[in-house]
Amino acid sequence: MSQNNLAVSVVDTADINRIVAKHKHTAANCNHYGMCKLDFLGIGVCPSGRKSGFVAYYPQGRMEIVNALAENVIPVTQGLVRIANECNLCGICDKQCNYITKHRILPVMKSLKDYVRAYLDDGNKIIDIQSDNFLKGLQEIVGSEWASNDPAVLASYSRDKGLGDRHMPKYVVMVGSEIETSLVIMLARQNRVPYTLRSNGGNGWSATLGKGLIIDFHRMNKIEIDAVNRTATIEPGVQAFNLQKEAEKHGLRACVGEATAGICANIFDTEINSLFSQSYGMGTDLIVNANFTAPNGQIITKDVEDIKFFNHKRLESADAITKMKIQLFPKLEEEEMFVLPFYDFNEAIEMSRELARNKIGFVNGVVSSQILAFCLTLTVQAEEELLDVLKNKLEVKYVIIACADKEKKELLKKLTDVYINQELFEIVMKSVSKLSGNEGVDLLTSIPTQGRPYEALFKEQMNNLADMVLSPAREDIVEHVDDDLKKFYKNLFSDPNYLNGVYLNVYRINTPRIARRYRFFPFLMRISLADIPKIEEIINNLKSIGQNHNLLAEFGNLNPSKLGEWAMIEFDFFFNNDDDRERVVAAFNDASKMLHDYKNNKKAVIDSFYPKGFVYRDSFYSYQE
Amino acid sequence: MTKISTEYIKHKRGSKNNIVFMTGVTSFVGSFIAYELLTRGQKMIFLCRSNKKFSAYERVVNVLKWMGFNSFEQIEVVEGNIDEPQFGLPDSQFEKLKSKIDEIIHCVADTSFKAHKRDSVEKTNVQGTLNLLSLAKDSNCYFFHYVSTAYVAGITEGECQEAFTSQTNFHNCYEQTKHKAELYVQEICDAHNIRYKIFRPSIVCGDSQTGRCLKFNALYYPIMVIYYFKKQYEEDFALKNGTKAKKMGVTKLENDKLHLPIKFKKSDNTVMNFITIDYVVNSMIAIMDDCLESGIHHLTNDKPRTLDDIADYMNEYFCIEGIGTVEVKEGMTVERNPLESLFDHYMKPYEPYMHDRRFFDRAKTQKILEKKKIEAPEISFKTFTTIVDFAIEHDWGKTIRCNFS
Repeated sequence: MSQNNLAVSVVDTADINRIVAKHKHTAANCNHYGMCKLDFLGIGVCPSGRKSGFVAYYPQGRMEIVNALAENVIPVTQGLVRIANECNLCGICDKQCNYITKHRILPVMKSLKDYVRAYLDDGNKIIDIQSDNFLKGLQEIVGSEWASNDPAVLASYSRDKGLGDRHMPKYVVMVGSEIETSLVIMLARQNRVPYTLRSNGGNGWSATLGKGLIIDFHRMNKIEIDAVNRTATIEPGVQAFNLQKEAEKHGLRACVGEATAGICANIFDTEINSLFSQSYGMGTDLIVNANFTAPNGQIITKDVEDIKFFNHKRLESADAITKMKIQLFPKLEEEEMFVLPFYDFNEAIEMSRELARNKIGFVNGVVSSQILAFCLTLTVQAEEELLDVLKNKLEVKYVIIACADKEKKELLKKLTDVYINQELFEIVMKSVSKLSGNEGVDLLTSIPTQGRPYEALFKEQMNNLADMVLSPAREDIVEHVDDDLKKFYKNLFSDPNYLNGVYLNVYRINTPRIARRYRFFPFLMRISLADIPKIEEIINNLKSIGQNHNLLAEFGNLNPSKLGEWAMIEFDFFFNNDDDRERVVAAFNDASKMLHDYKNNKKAVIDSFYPKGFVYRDSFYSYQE
Repeated sequence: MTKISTEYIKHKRGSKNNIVFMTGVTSFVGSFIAYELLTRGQKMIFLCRSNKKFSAYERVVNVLKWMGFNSFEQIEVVEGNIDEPQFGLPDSQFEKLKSKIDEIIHCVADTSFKAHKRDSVEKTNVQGTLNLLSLAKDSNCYFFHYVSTAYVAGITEGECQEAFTSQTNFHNCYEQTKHKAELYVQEICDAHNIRYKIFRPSIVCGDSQTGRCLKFNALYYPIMVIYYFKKQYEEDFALKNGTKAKKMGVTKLENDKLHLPIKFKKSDNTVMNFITIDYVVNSMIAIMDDCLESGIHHLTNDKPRTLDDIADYMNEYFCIEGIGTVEVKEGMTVERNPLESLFDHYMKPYEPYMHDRRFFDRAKTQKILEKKKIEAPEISFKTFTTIVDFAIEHDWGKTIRCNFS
């Protein structure tokens, strides 16, 4: 096996290092959602990534490589030269990343090319990375181009959404089929090489990182739709956004979480905790059958009733899910999104439970104003202004996001007449940049009433008034964005999908903005909705833990399921690279302890909570020797 | 403390070492009263909080400067919070304060009507008053002046006496807490031989001669919204042929006037009782000077206005048409357009004051004020114009409040 001592072969030329060092901050703050692997803006995907597959060839990987170069932890290798050369600076990533994070990453991409060129122009040597028998074995299974031990490739798999610690693996293999997966697992077992399975790698708790072999499923991305039986057969590399796009071609829809999440993994770890949970179900509700590759290489197909590891039992160690047939759901007539505003947490949860009990809405969940502000804005300034207007002027602290069809929306309107419908949502979206300081908004929210300001304004009959007060215009959306991107954004928002609540919920392209300024670790709880004040108590305790450790801590969302009997709650602790790691870990430990106490001492009906120190979203399992 | 004689009060007030401790100097009524007393040479200590932009002293000085008072040797500012015991002051500072004061004027109030703000309203209006009474009884304070409201009368009809009421039903937490505070003022002052005055103004608006005002609420809110709509819809007609206006039922008439279809709900035989700040100040000063015994005084208007009056004033002032009233009887449903629904929502907290069947006995007060020929100015169109001109000129208070709030 290769035993490269990277420390002695990294570049020590200070001038060259400066090329990447000045981009380290941006590079290190890549949120690792991996949205750059999806064509979510209709402008294509990084051509280099599409061709070569490894994360290293996508902008996400290049960001990590620049970070690693700036930290002097990888040398210039053939792999690095190829990665740099394959980037044609097309700028797709710059727009994609800006939409999500407000970063401008084209200069980072360019710095990588400049670095390599300067290194070579200076007459420096490309470091040769020796192969070994294990790597050769992998390459025999998958083909030489799909297995690597090149440090540049490895670096791109060394960090994720988590706390940011670097775990450099020794090998990465991109399997192309179930058989290849089976053979790779057997090889790893024979050679006692620990391995970690990974689809997209967007894990919040570093579960996709490992020090041995990373098995990347990105190539296994086939989707077969059976429109008649409303099912999709998918491979483990299939990501939510792409499945949704494919399903839509057949008038169908998948139950998904985050856009980048690998569906197979997502179902098996959090059962897909999403705003669809109430209507489409969770976990076993979504599966027809699944193929597992066992540690001995055997591929077993199990029907849903034979899949025992639900109810939160652990999946047999190191089983890999290599194919899955899942349920799809029909698109409905005249679907529309409604945003129901609330000041009071309990009232919001009660209404969401009520919607669930009455089966209203194929999307239903509660989110905080903070999360909403993250998702609806392009820039930090717009986000802060929107949050100020929501919380301090309109007194909206929580919202229910509900999407309903023609029939159900009439039922929803019988339950409440205070909501933002699609018409008003579009008005607000176009006006986000001018809500703050708007004379009409200030006036209409400053008059004290017996209720909350939003109660008078967020009514359907007031939409024309909002239209007059806000005078929405598409060009205003780009108010705070960089000048050179204004034209791009104006064109983008001429596509009504980007202002359409249902589209944004179904494709979830805005939610990664939650990590625009921060990294975060989420706590997920499955909790009974019988005692809502208890939920508020738990949320307040988690907020206190955040305050104690000086971290932004915010209720993320609550998604009811089982006709409103249960809900999955996400609570997020936000931090950034500058935060003291010990403080973040201490908050994590305190929160875990507190939730254990609630669960074990039956202070609240908590069925389970995550993290339990294992999986979330994208990777399903790892085998550690 | 034994009750001191009126002669002593006269002597003390004339001695120039009489010190008045006052809360709420940055409030509407408080600032006008402070100005009046300071211009008479009164020495004053103000309790005030700081905020993010200004220190307590800066806030006081800035508001007094705005009032036109520029000499600050005779004032002292204590930074503290009335909601807290001893106003949050350290013992030594509180002891020092106790040793200085002779009279207290209590103007601070939380005027929120919102039910969900009950706790904070109660804290300021009741606990804050108790905190202040605690200072009064432990000091040499001989007179406690409390600015209350005519609406401690609560839910009732007909004549309301210038006396304590045993009312238990109120329209909102503001009325209830002010009522409760009045009872504490009476109880504690009587128990400690402190004279007290309770002033009960109705709805206070700007100066009848100049329009000067510090708080643009109550009467001002609907006027402010109409003014804004007029501006917006006229612009819409000018630039976009009234596309947006027409969707809300707003039209341009042949006489080029804007027609805003807004009919305020009214009940028959109901009125609104407005008084101007100059009347409040003149009355309070006259009563403080001339009536040295404890008592309650209604500072209200014997010529209240109707909603129709105000609607007419708005049409005339803004050169528009359409503002009017619609009579709503109990159990009756009236169809409302979106603008009217919005106004209904905004006016809801003020309904008890817009559809008022209470009238206020002023016999005691009148007796004192008559001597000084002080009368509540009628809210005529001229007064309305003066008041609204000032409000618009000062952007509904934004250009004033930015100096201290």
